[in-house]
Amino acid sequence: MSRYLQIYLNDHLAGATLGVELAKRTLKENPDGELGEFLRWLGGRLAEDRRALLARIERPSLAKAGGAWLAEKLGRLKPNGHLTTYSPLSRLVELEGLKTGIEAKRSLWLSLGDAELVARSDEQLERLEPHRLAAARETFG
Amino acid sequence: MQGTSRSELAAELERCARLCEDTAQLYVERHGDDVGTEVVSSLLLAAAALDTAVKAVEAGEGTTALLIASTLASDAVAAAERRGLDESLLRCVPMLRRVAALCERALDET
Repeated sequence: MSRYLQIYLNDHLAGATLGVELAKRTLKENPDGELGEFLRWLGGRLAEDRRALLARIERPSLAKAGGAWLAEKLGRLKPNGHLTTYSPLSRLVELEGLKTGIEAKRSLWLSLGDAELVARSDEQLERLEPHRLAAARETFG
Repeated sequence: MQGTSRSELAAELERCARLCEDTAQLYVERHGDDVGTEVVSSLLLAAAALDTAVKAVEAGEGTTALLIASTLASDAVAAAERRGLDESLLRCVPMLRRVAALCERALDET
């Protein structure tokens, strides 16, 4: 396997790991109703997709996870270090973060020519979109 | 990092990373698992995170890397417990718990 492909896959592994964590955090804040049910389904799918990616990597590395991970973990901190309150806007931002991550993953599978995993990403995006739009309506009225 | 020096912490993380890899390998060879199974992938991800943390700690950095290592070590413990602890996991899980706690302690001290 080429060095460039290893780097590429490991970059996506870092992103996939961030996505799994983001899904967990969003579920923790939204455990009930259709959104909670969807997030449980999505979290399982993201973990499965990460395993499919890991299977293609000779030497896994999470060296690139740092900045994005920190941004995710600290995303709800005010400059004074206190946690911001979870709001409809937080939900919308997290769902958009998940959407961005799934789109990146879809590009990865397209680049690797894996139609089955592209279709899995499409299904995730399709099921996420109504929840993202509902969060936008709730946020902006 | 008062309780554990940086070099001691890095050495402990390194030992745990190798044990995770060895345990994952054992599961592949002995149980016919592949990297697609939860326990093997969790152990390999924990190993990758711990290796990254070793480099960061040795470079005098490490806050984010320790956060990632702690999270993925805890994820691996949870995956192992779901799978059921056999002899190999019974060796690996306590070490993962220990390094997760060490990472948390080091984070508290930074």
